[in-house]
Amino acid sequence: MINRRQLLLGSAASVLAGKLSLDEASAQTPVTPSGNTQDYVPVITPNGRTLPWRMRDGVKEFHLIAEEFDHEFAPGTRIKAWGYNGSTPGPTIEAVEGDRVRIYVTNKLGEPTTVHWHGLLLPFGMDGVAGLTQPSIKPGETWVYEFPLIQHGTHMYHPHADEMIQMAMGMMGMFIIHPRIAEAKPVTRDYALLLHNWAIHPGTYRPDPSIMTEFDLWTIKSKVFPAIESLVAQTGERVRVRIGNLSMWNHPMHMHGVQFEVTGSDGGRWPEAQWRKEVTEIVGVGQTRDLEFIAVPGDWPIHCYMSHHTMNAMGHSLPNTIGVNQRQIARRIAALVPGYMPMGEHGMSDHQQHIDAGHIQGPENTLPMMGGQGLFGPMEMGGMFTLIKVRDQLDGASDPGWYQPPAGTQAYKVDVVPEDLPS
Amino acid sequence: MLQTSELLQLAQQHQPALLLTGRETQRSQHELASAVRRINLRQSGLELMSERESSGEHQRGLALSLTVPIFDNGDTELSALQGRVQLSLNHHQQRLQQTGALIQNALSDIQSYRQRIDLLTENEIPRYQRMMQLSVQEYNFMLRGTFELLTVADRVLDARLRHIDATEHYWRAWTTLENLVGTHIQESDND
Repeated sequence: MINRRQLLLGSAASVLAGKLSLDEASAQTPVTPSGNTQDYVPVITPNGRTLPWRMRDGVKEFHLIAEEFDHEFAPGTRIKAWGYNGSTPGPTIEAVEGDRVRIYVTNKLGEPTTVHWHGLLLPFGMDGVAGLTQPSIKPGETWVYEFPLIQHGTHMYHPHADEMIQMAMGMMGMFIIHPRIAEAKPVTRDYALLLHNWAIHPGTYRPDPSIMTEFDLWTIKSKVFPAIESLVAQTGERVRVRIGNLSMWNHPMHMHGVQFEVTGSDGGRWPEAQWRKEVTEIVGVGQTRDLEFIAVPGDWPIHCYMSHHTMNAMGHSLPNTIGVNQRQIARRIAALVPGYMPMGEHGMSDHQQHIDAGHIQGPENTLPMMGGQGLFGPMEMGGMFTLIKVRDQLDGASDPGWYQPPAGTQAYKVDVVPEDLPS
Repeated sequence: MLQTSELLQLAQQHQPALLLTGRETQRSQHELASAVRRINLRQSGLELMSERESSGEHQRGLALSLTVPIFDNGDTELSALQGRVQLSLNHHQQRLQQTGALIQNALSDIQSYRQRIDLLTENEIPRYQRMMQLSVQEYNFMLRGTFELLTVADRVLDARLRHIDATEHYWRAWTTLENLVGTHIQESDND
């Protein structure tokens, strides 16, 4: 577990490394201005990072830079994305209830932007709505947002200027505010995941913002399976997974292996009496949900339950060929179209096998619909799917490899089905 | 690149119809010249005459011959022959002009079909083939369906049909040109 002191030292080191381009001379070992001395478990952002900060005149100072950069969803698909500080989502902003924050926002895009602090209670003029609460931040300008944090919870940030385009291009991030008072039932590990959707047409390198429903990629932290980093934990630990949704669909997020408790949202951590046990929780568009559970050993999937959202690029107007004997027509089509490979008579499972075997060359910059290898073979997944890897003992925070089911705890094959078995 | 003027010169040497009208003109011109010579003998004029007398003496002197305008002394024939010459010339010129215009049309057709063939060969067919390759990739990647793929294949076939059609028209225009010129023309002459 990383304690607060380590976190602050880490943040200061990042500042010294030049990530924050403010006045270096004023950097100092940060202390919370509220006098809050309680430790908190820093949030882990898989495939991402927490935004460094420094203390100045009792204010936590952050610097967000809106800009364009190359982004990879998984090996095989790269785009020109927009985001903050070189990543989409932008780095997670993390602070403590009672802090006063000063957030510098530099616009390196070619068009005006703002930052809206989604769900935060703040003065009207800090809400970041272009034209309404402020003039937009023009290219090359740096503006400052400064406000006290008077709440805690799982929040998000995103532009509120040319919002449809800028969000479609990847501009968003999470804003986690830890409670000032130590939590009852504290968590040992705290993960932050942000859901999004993308329209990356085959062979293209720019998200298409005009798409409203037919998205190609469904992402957690702007990554798709199998490139989404696994969440790791040790057996018996209390784990929180904070999930925010800035996509254009609701996502019923399902967790295997546990009944998690829904313990909070952008409204903060709820009173325990309001917690409820679930295995699937819908995270609506613009909502956040905190899911907590006691870790049990295994490699447990966590994924959206909309099954098309756990696929990568695929067509949504394909003729249904399940049960269709295509042999004769396939020969005739192949005569017209060299390289034609009929599929889907018995299902789509062979799709990944063909791709993994190198039989199928896909379009440029396009991920196959399904992929990923588990311990026992192809997993045939994509999109919003990753794993929570729980071990009795972890060696560091990195991926511990595949879980080996103990003897007698794994499904097995039989040669003969008992005759008297009712069915 | 073939030029109309050069081809017209060739046509004058080889096109049977032009040769025919040319020779017809020449023939009528010869006829006219012959008639002129013949008729001129009967024309009025002052001549030096020499006659031998029965005594064997030669008398020389000027002679004056007169034609009386109440008789046709070949004028009608000459006019008819002159008219025929003019008609032949007109036929020949008309044929020449017509041939020139048709050569120009044929050249224009050849050029147009050649451009169409080049466009199809160098641009459209490869583009549609590339589209089909990409579509096959997309089909095999389950990004598009069989019917969409067949629609793209249909475009490739359609482009090939247009290529065949343009090639046929190209050679038809070439044949027309050779008919007009009246002899074989090397295709390389058109490069």
